Amino acid sequence: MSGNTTRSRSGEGIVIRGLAKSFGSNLVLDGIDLHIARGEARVVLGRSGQGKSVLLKLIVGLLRPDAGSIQVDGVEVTTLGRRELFELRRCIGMVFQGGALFDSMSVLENVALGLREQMRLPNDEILERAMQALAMVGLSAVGSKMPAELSGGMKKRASLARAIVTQPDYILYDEPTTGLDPITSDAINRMIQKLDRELGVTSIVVTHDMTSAFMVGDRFALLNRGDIVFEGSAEEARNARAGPIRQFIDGSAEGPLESV
Amino acid sequence: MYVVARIGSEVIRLVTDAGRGGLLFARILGSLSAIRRSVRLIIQQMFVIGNGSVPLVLVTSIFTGAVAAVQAAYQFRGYVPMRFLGTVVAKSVVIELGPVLTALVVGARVGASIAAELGTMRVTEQIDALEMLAIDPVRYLAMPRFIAASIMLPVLTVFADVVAIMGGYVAALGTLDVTSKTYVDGLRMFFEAKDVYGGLIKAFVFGGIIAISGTINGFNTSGGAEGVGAAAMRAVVASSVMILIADYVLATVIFQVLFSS
Repeated sequence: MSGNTTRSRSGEGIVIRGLAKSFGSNLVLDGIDLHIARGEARVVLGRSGQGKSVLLKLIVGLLRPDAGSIQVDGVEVTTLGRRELFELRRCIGMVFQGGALFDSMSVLENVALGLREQMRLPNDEILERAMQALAMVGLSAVGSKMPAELSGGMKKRASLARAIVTQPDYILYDEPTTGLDPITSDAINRMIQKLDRELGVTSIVVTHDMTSAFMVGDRFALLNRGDIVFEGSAEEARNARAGPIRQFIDGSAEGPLESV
Repeated sequence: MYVVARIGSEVIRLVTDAGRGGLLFARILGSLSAIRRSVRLIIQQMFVIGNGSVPLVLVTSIFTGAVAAVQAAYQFRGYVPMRFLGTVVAKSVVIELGPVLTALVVGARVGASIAAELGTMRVTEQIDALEMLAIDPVRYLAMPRFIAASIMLPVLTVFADVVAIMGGYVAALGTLDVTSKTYVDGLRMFFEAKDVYGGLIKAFVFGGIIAISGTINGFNTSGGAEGVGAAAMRAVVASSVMILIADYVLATVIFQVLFSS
C-alpha cells in the first residue's frame, strides 16, 4: 500500500494529543499522542482489551475522553455538540466489528439508509448508488437479503459498503478480519486495499491480525496498557529485531508485553 | 439489613430511571420538529404495538368487566338496588380499570419488546452505527415508539372499555340474575362523557411511560444476552410502577381538579 500517490485530499488528518480514557477504575488510554496523516493507512495493533476500539469511538465522538484532544482536519472533536458531531461523521465511515447491520432491513436498505437520511436525493439515485457500493464489495447479488441470511464475511463486506456509500474521507475499521477464516480474511484485506486505492481514503485499521496488518497498513502503532509502545512504518515494524513490536509480530508470550 | 439494602438499591434505580426518562422525554420533544421524516416509522410502530396487543387486551378486558360485575353485585346485596350494577361497572371500567389494566398488560408486552429490541441494537453496535450515519437514535428509534404508544394506548383503551362493559353484561345476565334492561338502564343512567375523556387522558400518558421505560432500558443495555434480558425485565418493572404512580397523580389532577365542577 505504501507509495500510493492517488491519495491527495487536503486536510491535516487526525491529530491526537494526551488522550486519556478510563472506565471506572480501569484505565484504558493513558495520555496517548498519535498523528494520522491524510492518505495514510494506519494500523493500530494491540492485544484484546487494550483500548483499540475505544480509540476509534473517541475519534468519532461516540465516547468522550477524560482528557486530551482529538482534531480531525483541524476540528476539535472532544467539544463538539450533537449536531456538529453528525456533521463531522458525514466524512467518516466506520466498519464495526460484528458488522452492526440493521437487522430489521434488507442489505440494500442498510447501505441506502445513510444516503436517505443525509442527502436529499431522488430514490432512484439512492438505490443506484447503494447498488454501486454493493458491487464494489462484490455483493450485488444479495441486496434483497436480510442481514441474518448472510455469512460473517458477507456481513463485514455489507458493512463496508454501508461505510463507503456516502464517500467519506476516512474509514475506520474495527477488527475487520476477526472471526473470519483465512481465505475470507484475505478477501477482506484485498477489499480494504482496493478501497484505499480507488477512493483515496485515509484509513485506520484496528486489528491484532498481523497478516492483515502487513497487507493493509502503511504505518503501525502498537497500544499496550494505555500507551503507544511502538510507532513506525510497516518496514520498520517488519525489521524490528527486539522490543514489543517484535514480540507482537512473533506472537510470543515471552517479552516486554505481559501475557495474562 | 439485606432486605433494606435491596429495597434501597431498587429505589435508587427507579429514581435514576425516572431522571433518565425525563431527559429522554425532553429530547423526544426536541426531535418532534423532524416528525414528518419519521411518519413511516411511527405507522410501523403503531401497527406493532396496536395490532399485536388486541388479543391480549380482549381477554384481559372480558374478565375485568365480568369480575367488576360479580364483585359489585356481591357488595350491593342487601344495600344497593341492582339497577345500579351497570352504572358501577361502566364507571369503574371507563375511569380506572380499562386504562390501567390495558396499560399494565400492554406495558409488559410492549415495554419488554422495545427494551429487548433496542438493547440488542445497543450490544451489537447498531445504535453506534446509526450515530455514524449521522442519524439521531432519539429521532429514529425513541420518538416513533413514543408517539405510536401514546396514540395506540387510548385506542386500545376504548376497545378495552367496550369489551369490559360487554363482559360485565355477560356476567350479569349469566350468573347474577340481572336482566338485560336493568344492566343497560344502569349503564346509561349516570354515563358521562368526561369520565371517558379522563380515562383516555390517562391512557395517553401511560403510553408515553411504556415507550420511555422500554427505550431508556434498551439504550442503556450492556453486557450481551444477559444484559438484554435484564433490560427487558427492568423495563416492565419500571413501566408498571410508574403507571400506578402516574395513575394516582392523574386521578387527582383530572377528577379532583379539572372535572370537579
